[in-house]
Amino acid sequence: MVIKIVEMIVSPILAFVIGVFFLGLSRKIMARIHRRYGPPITQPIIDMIKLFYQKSVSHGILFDLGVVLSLTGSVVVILFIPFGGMCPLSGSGGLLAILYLMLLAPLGMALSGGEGANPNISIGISRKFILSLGYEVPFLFVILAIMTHYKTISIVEIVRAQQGLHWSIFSLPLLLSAIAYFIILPAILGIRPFDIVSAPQEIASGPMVEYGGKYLAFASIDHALHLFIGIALFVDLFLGGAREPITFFIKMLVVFIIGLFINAVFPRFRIEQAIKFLWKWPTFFAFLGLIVALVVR
Amino acid sequence: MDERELELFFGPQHMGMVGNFSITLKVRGDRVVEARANPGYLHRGFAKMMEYRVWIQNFPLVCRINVMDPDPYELIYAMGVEELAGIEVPERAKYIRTIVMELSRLASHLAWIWAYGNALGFDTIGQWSMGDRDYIIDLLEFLTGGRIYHIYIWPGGVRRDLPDGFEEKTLKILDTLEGHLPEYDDVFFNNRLFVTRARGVAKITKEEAIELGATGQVLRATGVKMDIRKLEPYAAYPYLDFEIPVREDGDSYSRMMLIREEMDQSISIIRQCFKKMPKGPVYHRVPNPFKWKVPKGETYVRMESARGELGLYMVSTGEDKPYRVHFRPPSLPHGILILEKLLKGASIADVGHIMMSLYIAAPEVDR
Repeated sequence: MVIKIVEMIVSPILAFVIGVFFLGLSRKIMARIHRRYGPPITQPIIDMIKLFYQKSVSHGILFDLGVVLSLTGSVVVILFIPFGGMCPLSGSGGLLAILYLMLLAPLGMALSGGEGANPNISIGISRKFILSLGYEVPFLFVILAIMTHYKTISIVEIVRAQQGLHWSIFSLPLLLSAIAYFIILPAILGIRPFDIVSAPQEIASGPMVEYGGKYLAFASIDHALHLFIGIALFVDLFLGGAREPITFFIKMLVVFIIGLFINAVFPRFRIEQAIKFLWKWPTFFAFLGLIVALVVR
Repeated sequence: MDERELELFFGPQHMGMVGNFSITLKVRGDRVVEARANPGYLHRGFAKMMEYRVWIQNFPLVCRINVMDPDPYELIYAMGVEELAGIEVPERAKYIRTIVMELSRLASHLAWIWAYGNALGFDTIGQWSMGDRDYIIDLLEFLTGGRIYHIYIWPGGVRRDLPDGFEEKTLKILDTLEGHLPEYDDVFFNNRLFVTRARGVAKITKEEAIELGATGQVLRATGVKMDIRKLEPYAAYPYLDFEIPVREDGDSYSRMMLIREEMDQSISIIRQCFKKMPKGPVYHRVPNPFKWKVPKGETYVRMESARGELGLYMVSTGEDKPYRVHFRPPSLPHGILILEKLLKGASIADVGHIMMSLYIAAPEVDR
């Protein structure tokens, strides 16, 4: 019991530290690809501390609650994700709970955006939901294929079944699902070529446009946690998770850096092109993966 | 999406805007219903200011009309004065002027690849091209002493001869740039996502382009082979061998590809200049600039700046100051008429790169 409580406190903090480290690392690696030096890896932390000291402007009670809801959603999802042998809420729900709870973050964002009353926010939010529609379909297929293959909805069981290099990415039915998930991963994380929601050059950062001071700091924390969730889920579902945090972290790092390289060499999709793409290739692979998983079972 | 009409301010404080310019958009859903270009954030009243300064004092003003591509303005002002005063420019000065023109064109195109890539949310190419632009700016600093504004071209020639080692340094930098350009192609110009984003967007037909006064890449992208460097050659252009890239589609993609192809031509022109340049004076002496009375008359000279046809109408009443100096900048029709026309019905996501593809320099629109 005490261990569970300690895990509950430690795992969000660990997720935050890793997410922020990834944010800093991404700035450094992107800078090197751009042929410049880039800021220190601690820059996101420095920014957040600075933002907490700044004056923040609220646009009403829902504006505040939306930010909190968004952050809560992310923290709760983290409690369900096994992280190197640590999973505080392993007994309950598993994958299905994660699926539901992952919707909390965009909802919170929409809630506070509605109160912000900036046209850029409304456009950003509508883009967010259209994009979710695009990637949730293949995502659902992927999850279904995995649940069919391992005959369980518990993510802990799935990780356990993959122990000893029996990773799902090495089994044929789930390889297709892994490809599909990897293609939609940038859309889930909101990075290029799917950074349509924030799109600074089009809608001035979209939902983030009215955030300043503490709100922006919370949004950055949320972003860091979101980065952790998307990649950790991939590692757990396809790369066999890990028994100790270090291995898990290294696996996450590999996935993240590959994603970063994709981020560096692509411009941004237009929203309808993104939907067209997402409903074509990833959905095709995910659906095929589901069929194969059903047949092979 | 809902059918509410929203008013969006794209600039002057917007991350997608380059320069002090603004577009007010009326959008329904994701579509732009109406667009209004708002210049006026950069009005400095140069045309009037020039009437109060002696002929030579206007050089620091004219180059500031376009920050990204300042040298054509110096050249065209010098050409106007030379035509009024009947001054013949030495051969060597013509070649040096051509080199400066093409370096300025290269710097401007590189800056614009950044602006365009940025509008598509693609910063990698932008950081590379801005980095390469800096080499060219270093070169111009070595030649003229100024990084952005050079004030190097004067009536009668150029201020001073090329410094020692300039040729080697330039050729070396051109080699570096030529080595980088295939990387640009791999990463950006042949990128499938760039092609899908830009092809077929903001199409303009040949007739519309001519009617609205388009020049430069906007006109050449519709299939019209119009370049003042070939039509009315000035400086050393008649002695040089170069191509005018032309495309047929008239969309954002072809305009951007023209910018890329012109960079190859500019590099080749600079190389030819160094080969063919004769020895000799670079400056035809003019009278004491502070007492110089340019003969009475009026003139219209034109040339090809990086963005299109640049014109200058100049009147002298025989005084020590010009009576009227009026520029015809290429960005004026592009930035107001054509931009407003092409934005109608466009997606919000495309507003940025449509504007960048028209190669609009805000300071040129306003002056």
